[in-house]
Amino acid sequence: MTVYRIKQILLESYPVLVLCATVSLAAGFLLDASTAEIRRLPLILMMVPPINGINNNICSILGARLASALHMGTVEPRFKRQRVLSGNIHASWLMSMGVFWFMGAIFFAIAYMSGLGFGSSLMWMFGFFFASMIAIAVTMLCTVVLAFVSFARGLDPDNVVIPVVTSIGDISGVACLLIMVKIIGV
Amino acid sequence: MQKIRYRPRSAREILIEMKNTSDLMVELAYASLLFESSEIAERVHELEQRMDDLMYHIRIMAAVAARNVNEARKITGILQVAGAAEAISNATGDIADLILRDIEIHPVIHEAIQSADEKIAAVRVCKGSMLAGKKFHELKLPSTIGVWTLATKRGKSWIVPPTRDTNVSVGDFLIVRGPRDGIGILCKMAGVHRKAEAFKTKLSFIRNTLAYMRDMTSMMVDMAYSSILIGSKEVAKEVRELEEELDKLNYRLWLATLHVAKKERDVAKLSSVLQLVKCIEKISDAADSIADVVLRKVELHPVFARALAETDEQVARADVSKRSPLVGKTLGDLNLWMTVGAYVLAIKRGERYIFDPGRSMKVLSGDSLIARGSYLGVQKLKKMASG
Repeated sequence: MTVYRIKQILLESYPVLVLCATVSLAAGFLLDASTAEIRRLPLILMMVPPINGINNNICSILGARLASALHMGTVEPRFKRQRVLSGNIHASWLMSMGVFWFMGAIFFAIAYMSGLGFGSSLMWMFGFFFASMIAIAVTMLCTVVLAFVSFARGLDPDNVVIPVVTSIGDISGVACLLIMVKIIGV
Repeated sequence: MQKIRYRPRSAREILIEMKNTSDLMVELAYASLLFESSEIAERVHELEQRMDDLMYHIRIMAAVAARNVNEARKITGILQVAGAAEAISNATGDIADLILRDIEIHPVIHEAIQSADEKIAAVRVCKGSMLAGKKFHELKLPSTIGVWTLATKRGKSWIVPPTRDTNVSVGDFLIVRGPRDGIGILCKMAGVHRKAEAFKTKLSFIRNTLAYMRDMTSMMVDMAYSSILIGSKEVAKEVRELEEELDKLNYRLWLATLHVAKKERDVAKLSSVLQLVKCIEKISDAADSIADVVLRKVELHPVFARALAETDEQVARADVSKRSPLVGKTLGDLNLWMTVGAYVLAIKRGERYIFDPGRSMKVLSGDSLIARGSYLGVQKLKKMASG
């Protein structure tokens, strides 16, 4: 068992954390660039924490599980004919679908109560749902690739895969949400 | 001590290689004794070192992979099996040491190896033989006549073990193992006449017990692996019982050898018998430690089933259906070992197991045959069983 010293923790985590901070900052810039839309419809801001939070949690869990499965050999580092890998992805996909439908329904209620019409409330609900599903698909793909890389290099999945996946989750969540806003229009 | 670099290989892949290597090493060690070949013995030593490396790697993988207590419990089972495979390889290394240290081998050992059920033979490929010019994967010897090639010798160079793509050419020596009939057929294919073994020594008890112990340990190892494959406590318990029986035989063999030693002038040669028995006993202990994983009340890791389905020589279970051509025939008539290279270790009938079934045992519909053989041989058997 490694005894984690302060110096070691700093040295190991610093490069990854700087990278992650930069990526997450980019997500912040995206939000900042769309202040106009957000001001008109503050509901968008409410959608950011759930989409990022759920996205990151589901993919971090997937990444950690994949790393173990790769070491044991129930999953192999390739994409074709992987029963356990596809099972894991399907499970995560179904899980996120359930959560995002639930969140979507809540946003529908909030939008409807805040005076938006039935039709546009419904549109926001579907918009949120599709944006989050696309975001999670992107993040999941990155997670799988990162898990493969961490196995090939012998990196610690806790130190590398999870931080990087969460930053990617941040940027893909915000980007998909804003694209959705652009498409639907405020 | 050299530093071993991290290589991304999963525990499953390492386990497959460890089982393949330890299986091969056992046979090579006996072959080195039979032919008193230091080349084969040296190869056994190299493989033993390889096993040490593999053990190190699988420990690393297991340590990284465990993320919760339940998972860790299952993974200790994998390490235990890997450790048993390594213990087998260490025992074979000790057998090879007899040759490398120039310890004189008592002729009764040669005779015992020759009188065991599974034979080891050196076959020379003659001119005009149908084997010449073919590759091993074209010949498919394990799945047709149950014969495995352990090594080939061409001139002075050895190939241990030959791969799928190794060519057979005229003048090659093939070191093979398999059933008597299968080796007989191979000799015909190679164009050589097979000599009948004649036993010269009078130590028939030692010879027969040693041969029996050798067959028994190889069966124990196969049964131990099959107990893991099918998760059967009954099979695992049978391994444990065999291990106790083997301990008794071990004791009687020591006594018999010591009795002979009283009259024999050359005690050095006789000591080789005791050394060999010690190694056989270690292999049986390893089999017991594999079976122990099943007897413990921990769920087996899914990696086991996948790894055991990918080894060179594998154990498998074939369920016999009503329509199967096997139904109603005796094992002696079917002679599966020689026709598809599958050796039936046990039959599961209802809830009961029949271990080491004799030639007169009839196959009934609803039986499950637990057999070992090559991948192709096992597939053939499964096809026959399902009808």
